[in-house]
Amino acid sequence: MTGRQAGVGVLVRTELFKIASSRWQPVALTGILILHVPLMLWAGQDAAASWDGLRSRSGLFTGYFTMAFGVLVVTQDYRYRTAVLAFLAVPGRRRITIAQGITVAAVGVTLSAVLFAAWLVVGVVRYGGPGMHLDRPADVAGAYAVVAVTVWAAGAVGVGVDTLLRGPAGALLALGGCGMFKLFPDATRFRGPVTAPLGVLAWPTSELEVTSLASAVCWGSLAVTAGLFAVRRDLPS
Amino acid sequence: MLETGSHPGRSARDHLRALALPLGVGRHQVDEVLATVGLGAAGDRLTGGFSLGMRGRLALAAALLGDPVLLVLDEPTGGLDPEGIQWLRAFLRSWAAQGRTALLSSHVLAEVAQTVDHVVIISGGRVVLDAPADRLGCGHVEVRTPAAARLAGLLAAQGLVSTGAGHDGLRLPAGTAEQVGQVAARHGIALVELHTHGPDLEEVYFALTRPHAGAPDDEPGASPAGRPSRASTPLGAG
Repeated sequence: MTGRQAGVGVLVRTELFKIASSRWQPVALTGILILHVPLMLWAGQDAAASWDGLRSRSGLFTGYFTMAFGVLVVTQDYRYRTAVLAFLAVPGRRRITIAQGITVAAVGVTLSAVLFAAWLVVGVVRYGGPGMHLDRPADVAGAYAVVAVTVWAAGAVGVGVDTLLRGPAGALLALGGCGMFKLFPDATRFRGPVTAPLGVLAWPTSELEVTSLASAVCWGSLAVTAGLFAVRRDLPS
Repeated sequence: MLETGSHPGRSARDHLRALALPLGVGRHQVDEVLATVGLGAAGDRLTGGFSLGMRGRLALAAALLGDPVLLVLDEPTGGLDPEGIQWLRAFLRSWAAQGRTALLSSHVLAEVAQTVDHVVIISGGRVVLDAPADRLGCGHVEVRTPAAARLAGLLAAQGLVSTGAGHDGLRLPAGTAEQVGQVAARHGIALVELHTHGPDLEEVYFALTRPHAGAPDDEPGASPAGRPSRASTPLGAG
């Protein structure tokens, strides 16, 4: 054993190993991809609708799944008290929280990339390259960038909120309550931590709710920052 | 004992590998510590199905990952079955034999007495005793034989002072069992019983932690380090 403490890169590898070696998490991640297959086979629209639905189909469900996955990744460390053991190897919990944020974001962004590519291929096969804007690569890249940023932000909210609350029930109740509350005041409907991804990804790909995107990014950053602040000095309990 | 937390849906080997990665410890060492704690065959089983004793061993394996020279164990026998306690005692003995140290904190004084080399009693936040276990003065050897009087004489000739314990028994200072056995064998004396009683830590503990009590005067080697303020205290032994 070296006296040096593990860097964030090693901790990201550790988090990925923990996901890969658990019983259900790889199954759930594969299930998310498989769930889209029937939709891809049966969804029959025109070229414009396929393009407009590209962001929501590849990112909306994935974004909320990534949020829940972020809650799960953080919560299992506290629930099964492996955080205490991790503390012996890595006393600075902040780096573990950063690693968990990166890992969850990487998983979410990878999932959405695969789904985005798959939906794009389906569209191209059905309606041709120009129908899916392949003749305008900047459009395609921009559409995926919005999906990736929103999915990252959703994952960051999950990691940050659960780092604060340290339990799936509390985190999911808080996020659910937040989402429900935001349905009522109309002016802030798509600005909350839970509803901002909806405001970005439920809209047609040809439009962009910039305020919702900014809100999603801000909420994600705020949640992770608050989480890092919460773990700055404590022993896991 | 160390924290026994583990994800129930992960195998023991993967649980240790997840801990080993940040430590920079390889797969080979994970297998080694699993074998050391006797979980080599159960390495691929999910930890959710582990018994309390197996969880204790897994926690110990996690502590061994970093190849430490010092183990700190808090109430290590809690929840263990007799077999597990016996295994842990043997493990700690072999650990100490390698020149390493285990700091063992326990309230089960009888268990501590059978395991440790050195005793520290803390009362009211102050160390009231810090002494080798074999110098606490409470350990003794008991021997039973139909020829108790003859054996007592032979032992006295060897410089071993014994006191009578019943009509067929003798009591000698701790650490004399081997000599007693050799003298008896040399002179063809049949022994019905020969065993060593460890230092009675409970007696020492209560003597030291009684209000206004100091260390017993008849405990050579014991070095009282202060006066206790409470009777209810933890015992640290290492």
